[in-house]
Formats: sequence, C-alpha cells, structure tokens
Amino acid sequence: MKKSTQTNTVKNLLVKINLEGKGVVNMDSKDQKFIFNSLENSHMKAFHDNISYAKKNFYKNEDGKVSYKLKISSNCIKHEMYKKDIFAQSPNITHHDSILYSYIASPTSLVRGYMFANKEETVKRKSALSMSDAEQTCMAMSQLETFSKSGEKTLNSEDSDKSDNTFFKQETVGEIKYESIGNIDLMALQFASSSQVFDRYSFNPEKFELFKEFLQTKMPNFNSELGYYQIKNSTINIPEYGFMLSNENVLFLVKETLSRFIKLEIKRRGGYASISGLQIKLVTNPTINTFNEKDGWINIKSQKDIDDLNFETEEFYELCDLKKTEEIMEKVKEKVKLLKQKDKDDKIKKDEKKSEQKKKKNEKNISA
Amino acid sequence: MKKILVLKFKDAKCFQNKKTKDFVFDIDGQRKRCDEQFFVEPITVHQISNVLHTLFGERPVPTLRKSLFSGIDYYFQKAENSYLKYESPKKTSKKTGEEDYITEILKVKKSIWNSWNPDVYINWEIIRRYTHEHFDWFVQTLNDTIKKDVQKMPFEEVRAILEKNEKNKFSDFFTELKKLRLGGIYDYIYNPETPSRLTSNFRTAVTVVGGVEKVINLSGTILVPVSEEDIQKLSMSKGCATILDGGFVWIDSIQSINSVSGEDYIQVKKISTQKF
Repeated sequence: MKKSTQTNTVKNLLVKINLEGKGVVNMDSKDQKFIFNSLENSHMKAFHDNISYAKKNFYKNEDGKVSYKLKISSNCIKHEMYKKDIFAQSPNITHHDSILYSYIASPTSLVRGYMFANKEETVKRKSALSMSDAEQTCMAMSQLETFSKSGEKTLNSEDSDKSDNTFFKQETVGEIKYESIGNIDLMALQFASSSQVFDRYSFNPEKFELFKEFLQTKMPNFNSELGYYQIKNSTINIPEYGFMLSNENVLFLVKETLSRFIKLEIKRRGGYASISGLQIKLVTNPTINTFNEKDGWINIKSQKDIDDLNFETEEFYELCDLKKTEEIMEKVKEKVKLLKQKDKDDKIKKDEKKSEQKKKKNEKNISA
Repeated sequence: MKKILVLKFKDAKCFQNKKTKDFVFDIDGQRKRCDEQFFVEPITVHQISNVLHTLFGERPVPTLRKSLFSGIDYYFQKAENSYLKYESPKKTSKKTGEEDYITEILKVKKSIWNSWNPDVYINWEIIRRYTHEHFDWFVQTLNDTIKKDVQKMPFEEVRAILEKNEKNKFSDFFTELKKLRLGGIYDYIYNPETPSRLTSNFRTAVTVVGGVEKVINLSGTILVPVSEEDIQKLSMSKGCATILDGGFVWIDSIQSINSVSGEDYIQVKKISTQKF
C-alpha cells in the first residue's frame, strides 16, 4: 500500500462562525407545543394552533429537566450564503444543456453540491461544505408574544360583525448570539466524478467541453482534463473517471466560500442575524488539529485576510495508468452486465411466482 | 495500549416518512423511495461503517441503494465494535406513553421534475408561451370579438367573459383553437379549477419545486477502538465525514481506553438492523 508523502499539506479546513442579531430568524412548526405542554412549569405552553416557535435544540439533564437553545439551521445559513446564485429548480434546467451546465459548472455548485434528477440522466455532487446548526451561546430567554392581524369583514351577513381579525402567538427573543462549526472538505472539493461506478455522477463526460467553457468564465485558471483517478492509499482498486482541480482552483473556491461567510447576513421580518466572527484552522494532521485544540485558529476579519491566505492542498487522488485502467474497467463493465442480468432474472422469477399464485387463487375460487 | 477514537456528530437528519413520493436513483435508474425499506433505528452499523470508511480515506458504500462494490470488512467490524450515545433527548407521548425523537420541520427541494403544480394562476405570460407562434392571432381575435384590448385585462377576467357568453358566439374561435392544438385554453375556460392542460405543456411547465418534511435531528458521540496503525492512517486522511443527511462528523480526540467512560453508550453490534 502506498503512503502519502506530504505531511505539511492541508487536508481539511475547519470553520467556526459566530453570529449576532436580534429576534428569531428561523422558525419551526407548531408541533413544539406538544413538548412544552408535557413539561411542568414551562412558560412556552400553548393550547392553540396559531403559534410559531423558533427552531431549537432540546437538552435533558441528569434529573430529567428539559432545557433548550435557539438555533439557526445549517440549511438556513447555506441558503443565505448562496441564495443569489441559485435559481429555481424547473424542468427547463434539466432539459437544456446550456442552462444546466452553466449552473453546475460554477464555483457555487462545486462547493455547495447539487442534484438534478431525470429518468435518462441524474447528475449529483455532494457538498464540500458541512456546517452544524448555529446554536445559541448567550443566556437570552425567548418568550411567546401575542400579535394581532386585522382583516376585512368577510361574512356577508347583516347579523354578524365577524371580521378576519386574528390573534396569533409567536416566539420572540431580544439580542442573541450563535455559534456554528463546520468544515470545507478539500478531498470532496478537489475531484469531480463522472463515473456511475461509485454513484457520484456529477456531469456527463461527453459534455465536458461545455462544462469547461462555462467554468472558465467564472474560474479563468481552470484547465483540468478528464482522466481516470484513484484515491491514494485506497484498498478498492477501481479508478474513477473525472477531473481533478489544481491547487490554485481549490484555493480559489475556498477563498470564494470564506468571502461568502464574511458577508453572511440573515434578514427576516421579525429579526436579523449577521456574522460577528470567523475563524478557520488549516488541518495538516486531523488527529492533532481538532476543534478542541486552541492553537492554530486564524481569525478572518476582512477580505484582505482572505486574499492573503495561501496553502498547499493535499493531493488525495492520483492519475492511473491507462492500460491497467482499461483492464479494470472491462471487468467492471462485465460485473454491471452480470448484475443487470441477475436483476432481470429475479424479476422474471418474481412475476412467475405471482402469476402462479394468482392461478391457484382463481382455481380455488372456481372450485369453491 | 489500545486507544479510543472519540467522534462527535451533530445535526444528523433522518427522514422517516414512509409515505414519501420521493425517488431513489442508482445504477438501476429511478424507482420510488416508498418501495424501499427503512431502518427502524436511525443510526445502525451501516452508517457508522460508512463514517469510518470515509475517515480512513475509503469510499462509502450505499446501504439501501445498489452498488458495484462492497465495503471493507475491517472497517465494518470496527463499526460493530464501536459504541454510540445520542445526546438528543426523546419526548414521551401523553396518549401512548411511547418515547420518540423530537422532530423538526425542514424545507426540502424536490429531486424529480415531473410533479406538476396543481394550483397555478394563469396569466398572459403562460398564455403567450402556450399559444407560441399563434399568440398574435389569439389576441387579435379576442380583441375583435370582445371589442376591448384584452391584454390590458387580467386573463382571468377574459376567461370570465368567454365563459359567460354563449358558446355559439365563439364557436368558430373554439374550432380554430382545437385545430391549432390549443384545446387546453378551451378546457380552462369552462374548468378553471384544473389548468393542468395549460401548465403541463413543455413550454409552460409549472412544477412543484419544494416542500416541507419532518425530520429527526440527532447529535451524539461514537467511540471507536483504534490501533496505532489506525491512528497513523487517520493522520494521513482528511479527518471528517458526514452521517445521515447533513450530519457533521469530526474527530474530537484520541484517548486511552481507561480514560473514557462507557456509561450510556450502546455497542453498535447490538443496535437492531431491522427494517420496516
């Protein structure tokens, strides 16, 4: 087994973000009332349906006492980071190559991932950015506040004065601070697969020129070529068809993602939350460079800090020898054929069993 | 001395809606997710095995979908010998007394594109796309018959005018529409509740692009016994993984076996892999 020789190269990038704001920005369903109603002496009890709760994490201590912390979900954070670049998902995207590839061949898609499903061809890519929900770090106490909404008289009856006025309850909070942790997975970021073998088909290799053309408009130094790649040190000796991003490209994507972090601002009708701190850690040895380790955190305060960032990424993949690859891929194709044939045979057997059972049932009914 | 790898995971989302209309995509193509079986327990040995595969620089193996390659036994066994503890509390149902994980609402995107939106407001833009090259003729004919500039009115008003008038008055117009294969407009005039023929056309497709789902949000700790060789391999890897949907897994620490308390942990081998 080969071993990676570079020990000072960066293998992962840990991220820690702090958010500050006022009010609730991420709401949950009314189902939370069942949790609060089952607790004794909870100030969040409610017996009506017209109620909105904030998203929260619940905790139970050793005595069985339940407490909670407000949170902003990771989906909400990612949505706010990328909302300007992601247009609505519609059939037009999957049907028009140029629209689909202009979207998937972009820094946003390479980092955030995507899935466009179609009967003929499904393209998908796993997100290289993982984030936990941003959880409350201060002692702010939320409460249920009553609001009213006025409306016109809706019933056309002289006897009734009923109008559309409603009262509803909504959870509110004052000044609040959150913290979220995550990482930018450089291994996932580095490689884009177009291989069905590993269930990571992120683009059609026949349309690579189109992909390249679109990506070069947003990432001018992108100049990778398609090839068969193998994960270094991997026990499974099946190469994967795709392209590998250069160190420059990876750095560009990391900087682009960090730029989005420092501009992060979530605005809602009843509140807001914006970034107050961003710290990153370049991981060269994941067993030592952990979240708990206080050393090694880099404070990112401005775009200049991001521009000054420079590191060398570990190359997790290596280009495979063409002859060996062809031999392996032939075997893989045979395996696929065998698997598909086995599936067909199984289906035929199942259908035959079903039809036999039906026949027996019919015969029984006739004899009865 | 044997060591313990302490892994933390946070916000691992588990979808348990068996009645889902979602689809699964693998080497066999597309099929309905509700035809698949789900694990009763949110995290089983399969999910932890995949976490370990990723952490040690190997590719994860799909558990429920078909795959051309199988996992590495060494990591599967390591997963079986690991220990799991959830930090997410359970709620007790007042009615049944049963304990279940707390759920939350999550906005989801629909992966498949052929779910037509049944509730669409028909406007002139949809009509323009539907009639395509016949749009000018369509507008001119309506202008002449109704004797108003119809494009200055919402299309809903035009529809109401056409519906109120006798069919005979517009019979030539309707015949021409059907000849031009624009019968969807005729259907919409008399059945405005079902505009599907107008909006299921390729040019005017209006689809459902998202929805909401209830998910269980899990956080916890996994203890994995590791050897010195494993630690050496880990130091060369990326040291992060994901579990379930969007669950972030990271290496918390590596500790000696004596310094870790196994209280409240369950051996992964003992977690049921029963499906429903």
